[in-house]
Amino acid sequence: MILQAVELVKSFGDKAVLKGVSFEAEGGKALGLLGRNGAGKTTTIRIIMNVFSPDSGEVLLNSKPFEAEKHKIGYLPEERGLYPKKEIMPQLIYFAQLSGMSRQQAKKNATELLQKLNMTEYAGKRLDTLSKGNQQKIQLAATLVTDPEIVILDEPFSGLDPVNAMLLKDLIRELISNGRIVIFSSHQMNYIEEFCDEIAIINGGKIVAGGSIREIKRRFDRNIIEIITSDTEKISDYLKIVNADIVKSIDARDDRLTVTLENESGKDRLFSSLSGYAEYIESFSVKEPTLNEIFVKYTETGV
Amino acid sequence: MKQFFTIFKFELSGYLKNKIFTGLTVILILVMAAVLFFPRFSQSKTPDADSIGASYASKMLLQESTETDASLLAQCIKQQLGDIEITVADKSEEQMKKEIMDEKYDIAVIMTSPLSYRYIVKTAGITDMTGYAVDDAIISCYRMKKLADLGVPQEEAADILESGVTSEAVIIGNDQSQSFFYTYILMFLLYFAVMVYGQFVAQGVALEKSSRAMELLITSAKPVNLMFGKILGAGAAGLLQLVLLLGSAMGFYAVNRQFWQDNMIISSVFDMPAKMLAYTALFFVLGFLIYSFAFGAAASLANKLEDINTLTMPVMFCMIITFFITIFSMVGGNVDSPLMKIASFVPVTSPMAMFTRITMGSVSAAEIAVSVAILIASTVITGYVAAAIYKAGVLMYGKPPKLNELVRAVKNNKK
Repeated sequence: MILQAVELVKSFGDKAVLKGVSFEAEGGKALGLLGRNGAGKTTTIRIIMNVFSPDSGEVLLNSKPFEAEKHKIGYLPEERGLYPKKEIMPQLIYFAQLSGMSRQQAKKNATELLQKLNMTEYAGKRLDTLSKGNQQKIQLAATLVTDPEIVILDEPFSGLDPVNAMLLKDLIRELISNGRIVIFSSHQMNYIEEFCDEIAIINGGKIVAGGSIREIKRRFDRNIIEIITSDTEKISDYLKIVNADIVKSIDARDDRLTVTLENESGKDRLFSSLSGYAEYIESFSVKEPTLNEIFVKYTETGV
Repeated sequence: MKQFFTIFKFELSGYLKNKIFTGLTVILILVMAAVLFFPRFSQSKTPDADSIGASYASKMLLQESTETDASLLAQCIKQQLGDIEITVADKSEEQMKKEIMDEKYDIAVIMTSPLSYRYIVKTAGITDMTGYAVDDAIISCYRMKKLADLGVPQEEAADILESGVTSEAVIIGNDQSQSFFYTYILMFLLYFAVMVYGQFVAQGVALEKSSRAMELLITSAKPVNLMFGKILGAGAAGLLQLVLLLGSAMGFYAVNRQFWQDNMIISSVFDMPAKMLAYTALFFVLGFLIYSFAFGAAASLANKLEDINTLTMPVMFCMIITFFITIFSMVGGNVDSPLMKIASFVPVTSPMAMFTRITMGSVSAAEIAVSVAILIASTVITGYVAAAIYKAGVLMYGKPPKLNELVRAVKNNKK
């Protein structure tokens, strides 16, 4: 099952929000949809869910035009929203019924889901009597109550304590292993790295970086070396003298030296030059950019 | 359609489960029961139905006088007041006052001229009508005496004085004295029902938006279904409440009918022609729909609950203006004035104006048909426009948009 966004273009009035957004999300994998606030993530998500149509471009499922109404989509909006004054169970059933599910099935799913989330005791309570974390879990239940094929999660971890976060992680892993298409949007890059193999970064209405995280990281220069040593001063001084022509800068912190090379090719020479000091070296590795750094690099030019 | 019914049921059950809604309905029914059963219990203690309202003195002291023939006057007063006990005596005013103070008599009358008198009572009761009866007695006594002076025999004089007029009105159109009260009540019901339920719709829409439940709703349901489901859910709740209130009032009245025979207002309200109720239902449904569409569309632009007051103001003004035009025409007695004629065809004002003209004025069946047709057509058009505004509005956050921004957003959304 592959969901594709193909060259989505959308403007509101004279404001162009999407200027050709394309990406793919595959069943059994999670796609991280990243972008700064106002980059066009929500608009993209709404186009996928057919809240409105794109000015041009299309959404495909297995290469055929995607009709949102005919599929079950679970959506966890960033702006959480349910009825604060209504009881939880009837709300969950209502939202499932709106997606075309029968009342019995909806009730069965909701009961199971509340059980899974350890929320059974709250089924008859009003939403606004729950703590923020528990409300968040109910929101998640509303997302998953239809047993959706496609799950879109916008900042799912915000407001959850570590125990609940763990519970949610297990749920997401289960969704992925069940072959669901999971689109995951968050500014907490550690979660993206944990779940997503692929990302699409939207900036200024376009995808500025897309594909597997591994590959995107490899696109960056591999010229920063991290050395963990028992004598930072000795190694630092030695490297400055011996490799002055290839080393751009050395940064020492605790037992860690971060060596920035003029270019990637100096890596091998640096490594062999340390052979005489092996007793002081605990590790030598190429430092990859974090997803956070990648995100900032691609999006700092503005929305 | 299935989705619409899901929303409709959810909304309707929301009202029926709402404690304030059900509580208010029950309280209103109880109040009506209390009012309509009241005479049954109040009259069982004082079975004399005539005694409601007016009261009369039962012992009178009448001063001997040179001005009039006291015994003749006493006879006249007896004719007017029936079982009054009258003592004619030659006493001074001071003595009479004392006897009144001692409650030997209820009232004392001193004639100061053939057509003027002074009367003494201890406490002047609000409902005491003795004075009026004495007035009538004095004047008929005076006239009898004058006629006798002119040589008219006493019996003939009595006939002349007692002659009265009887009339029978043949009313071809509406009897306004009959229809006024029920029209007034139904008008109020229409006004409040449309206003209250319109506000409920507005609040519901704004709440879904401000609680961001809309974020989820809009992705799982069609906006048209959302809006119509909500409005018709509220409308059904309103209609149900109206039927319950009117139905139980009718029931309570039917049980107590014999106790209300003398109350012209109440009996005219409940003995209204059945077709008026049908018109009430028709104009409630149409009036509610056209106004609720407007309320729903306006509220879809709200960001917070507080915004709805400002946004629904124009809709409220339309309602209030309609209400006043109609009420003033009713009170002025001219419900077929040119203004009302126009108002009864303009869709915003016609639910009340045409309704009033039907109940109180003279309006042809063709006029009613045309007015209703215009109203239905406008309701459908309003529904379409409101759905378009709603669809664009529910996704607009931030400050409520200006009109041109709204038009642009609606156009954009149509694509």
